[in-house]
Amino acid sequence: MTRESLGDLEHLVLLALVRLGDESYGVPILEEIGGRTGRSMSRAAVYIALRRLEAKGLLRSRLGDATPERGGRAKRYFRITAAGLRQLQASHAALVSMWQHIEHRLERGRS
Amino acid sequence: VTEPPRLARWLLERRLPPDDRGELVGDLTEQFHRQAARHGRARAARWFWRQVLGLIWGFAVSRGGAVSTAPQRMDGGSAGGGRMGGFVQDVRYAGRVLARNSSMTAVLIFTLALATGMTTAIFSVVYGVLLRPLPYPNPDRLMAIWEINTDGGRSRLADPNFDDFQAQNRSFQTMARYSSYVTSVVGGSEPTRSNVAAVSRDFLTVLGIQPVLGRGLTAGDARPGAAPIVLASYGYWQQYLDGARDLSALTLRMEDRVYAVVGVLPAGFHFPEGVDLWVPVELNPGNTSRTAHNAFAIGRLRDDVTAFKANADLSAIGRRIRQQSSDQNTYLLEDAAVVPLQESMTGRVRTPLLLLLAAVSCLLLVACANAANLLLSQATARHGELAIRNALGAGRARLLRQFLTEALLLSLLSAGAGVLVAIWGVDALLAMAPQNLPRLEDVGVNAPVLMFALGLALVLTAGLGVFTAVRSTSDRSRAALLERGRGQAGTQRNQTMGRRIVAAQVAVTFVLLVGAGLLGRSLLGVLSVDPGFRTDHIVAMDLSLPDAADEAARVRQATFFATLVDRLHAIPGVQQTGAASALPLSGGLPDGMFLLMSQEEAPKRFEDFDESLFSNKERTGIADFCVATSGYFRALGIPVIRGRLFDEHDGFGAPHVALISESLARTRWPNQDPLGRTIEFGNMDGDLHLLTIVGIVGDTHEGGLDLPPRPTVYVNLLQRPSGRVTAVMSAGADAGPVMAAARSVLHDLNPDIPLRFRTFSQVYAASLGSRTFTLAIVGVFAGSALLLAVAGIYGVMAYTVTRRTREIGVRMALGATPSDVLRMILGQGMATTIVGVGVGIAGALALTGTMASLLFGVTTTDPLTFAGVALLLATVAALACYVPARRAMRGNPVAALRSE
Repeated sequence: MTRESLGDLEHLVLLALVRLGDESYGVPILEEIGGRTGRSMSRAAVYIALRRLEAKGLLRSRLGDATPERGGRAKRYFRITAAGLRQLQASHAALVSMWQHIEHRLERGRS
Repeated sequence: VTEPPRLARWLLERRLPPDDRGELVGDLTEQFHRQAARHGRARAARWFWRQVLGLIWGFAVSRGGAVSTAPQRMDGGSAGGGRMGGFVQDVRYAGRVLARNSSMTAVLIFTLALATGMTTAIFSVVYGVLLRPLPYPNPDRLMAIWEINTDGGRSRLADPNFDDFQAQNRSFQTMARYSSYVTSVVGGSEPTRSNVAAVSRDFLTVLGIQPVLGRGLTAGDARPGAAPIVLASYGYWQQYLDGARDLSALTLRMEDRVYAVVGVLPAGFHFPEGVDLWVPVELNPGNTSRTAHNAFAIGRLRDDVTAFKANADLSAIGRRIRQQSSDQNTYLLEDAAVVPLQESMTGRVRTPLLLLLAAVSCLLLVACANAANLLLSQATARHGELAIRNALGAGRARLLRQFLTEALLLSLLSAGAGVLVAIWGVDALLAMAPQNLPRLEDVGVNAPVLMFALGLALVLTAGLGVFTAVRSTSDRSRAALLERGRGQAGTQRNQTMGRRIVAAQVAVTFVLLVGAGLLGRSLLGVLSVDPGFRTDHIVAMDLSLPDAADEAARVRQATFFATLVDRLHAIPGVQQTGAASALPLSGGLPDGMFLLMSQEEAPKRFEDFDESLFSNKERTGIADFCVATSGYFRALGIPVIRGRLFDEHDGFGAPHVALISESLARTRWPNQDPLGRTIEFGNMDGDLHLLTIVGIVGDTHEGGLDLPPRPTVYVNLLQRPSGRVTAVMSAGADAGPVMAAARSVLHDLNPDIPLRFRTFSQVYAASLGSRTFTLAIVGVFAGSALLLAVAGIYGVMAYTVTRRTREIGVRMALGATPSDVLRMILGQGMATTIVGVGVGIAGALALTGTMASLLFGVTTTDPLTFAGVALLLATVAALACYVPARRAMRGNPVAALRSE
């Protein structure tokens, strides 16, 4: 696993998985990201990010139950892996260190 | 229970990668139900559709994008390779391939765009003129009705014959007759010289045309003694009647009669072609002669009758008239024919237009051959790439698909550019089209034409794509490639193919050049005909006066013309002045049958004519009828062969005299002296005075340079005035001031007569119009084809030389001289050319027969043209081979060998 950094959307998807815990399948993930960031996500982009993250080994998925309101289709649940968590932590650390000592400057810049 | 829209779901199932499908559809369905509960079914359905389309697009784009970094996906076998994704991926890949070889792509697109553009432009003319249905309701029911004369040709209808057709036929719902003429029209915002059609009552009903304002023709208008009315074209109404909504006060004066304007016909309606005003033909008494062919006729078929049955019906009536009529002469109809109106209108131009279409198709073939050759050479260069993709698992089908996609992209780009070429080309064609090309207003780049261009692009795609794909992905070819060693089996095969294509190109080009050559020789032939009159420095002025109704009016008219000619003659710079009823080369003269008659026999009234005389061959003759002044012959330089011209003694009251043309003297009075004989020709102008022949003048090619001179009788305008004349002035200097002076002279005499000026050179050029038009276009096509063929030969030979560098190096190292090499390469190129020329000769012999009717003074197998074209092609081919051959010859054998 190369230590390439996470893309913006990948970052958001992984965070959504952490927040949602056991209830993380397609619909809640889309809603979580959309609801919190206020950004309208391309549905295809989110699904593609999910598959890519799985291919990178940063998350795992399993098929769940099918319900009538889903037209008899199964849910696919996603779960972040240990590698995924590490990647998130690394990204977080990188961001935090980049943010250090500059908040006040941004504040001032804004006023 | 609400369900997501079915079509959208179906699309989704179709387009999504199979392993993502389940949960994706599930997620969407779940959300759809929530949306439906919150916002209602309709809004949810719209939301669902947006999501589905977004998903499909998103996946398609991302799959294509993924490919660029992951070549193994090229085999299309990856789990995610849905059909949609595969196609987008192919398009992107094809785009990159084309962009990588940008110069080659540019050449390809340029060639194909030019060829498809020209083809589309020609097609748009062919479509507009020949194919597009006439702009009337149920146009397939509209028929033209013709008499068939004794020569088997079509002629117009005599009034009583039309009446019989109308009364006795069982095939037509309605029928109408019409004829058109040019006349002066006064009463609008300015006097005009307009085309007026005299039409019978049902004319508009036959065509299915309703006036946009006012009324059409009624039975009342056709009654004897009815008040004269006129219908105006939309354009005339707009331009000269100020588009007035209230027609009640509008009148127009023509030929000393005042017409009330009662209706305006729809914009764009001009039938017969060029007509602006329509009046009831019944205003004038019909001609009772069965041999005066004055009217065109059209009819609308009953729904249950075919054109074929209608033809049989009218033919029977026509033959019955022939049997029962008392005047059995050459001018009586032999038969009758029913022809679809569209065909009747465009029959004349069918051959030249189809010839142009054939020519442009040849050009397209040549261009395609070039494209095929370019693609083939490029395919050879891409062997490595293909081999790699093949090794990575791309099957032949996958590679075929890739090639087809490339061809599709190429064709669509070319077709797009081609449409631009076509738009420009149609403008150019319309600008140079001869005046006699009918229906030009129907020509344009419209939907059917665009469909044609698109269809053409698809055919090209299929052709070029399949061709290159099959050539470059065949197993043999691939096996050979994979060796990638010194063996050049695959390229050898492609080179052979390339040479075949070039030979075919040369063959098609040969056919085109021969076509252009034959047309060119015909034009030269026509130009070398001595017309029998001079064409330079002649100013012509068309004017029309009302027809003289009685003796007094005739005297006034004769005086008017005498004065006019004198006044025109006084204009500075004018050397000779005359006038005639029609100029040569501008539409022809009426023809008829005259009678040899002595003064004692001369009838006083038409009723006294002894009809039987017309069946006596000893007493009759046939000639064109022209009204002229003596100055007309001097101005046009028509020589007096014997006798004299009209002179001052031949005044209005004096005995009427006539001149005859040389060919009439020769054919009607062989070995006799026609001078002094008297003839009766009053059936042409209603004047029964006998004519004494006083002179013989030179022949003129009246009807056209490519037609033989017609026997002609000239009568004196000052004795037998005619309403519509053309005055001619021979002027050494500039035409402009002469025209201005002539205009003011006429304005002095009568300000209400509208004029049209032409120089005779214009008339002369116009008479050659369709010939030069066809030649120019075929010539351009042939020239373009020649250039493409030369490029093709050069391309293939240059490629051969590059490929054979090593072989040539070996040969030279082993002692071959540069001239051996030159001979070898030239020989190979010329062999290809000779094969092409051979096939071309065969093809041309087979095809030029179809253009026989367009040729003049040259046969369809003219050996000079064939030999000339063969020589031309061989020469340029040799030059095209020489350049690469010289490069091969100058090559350094050591360097060539080392490079391998």
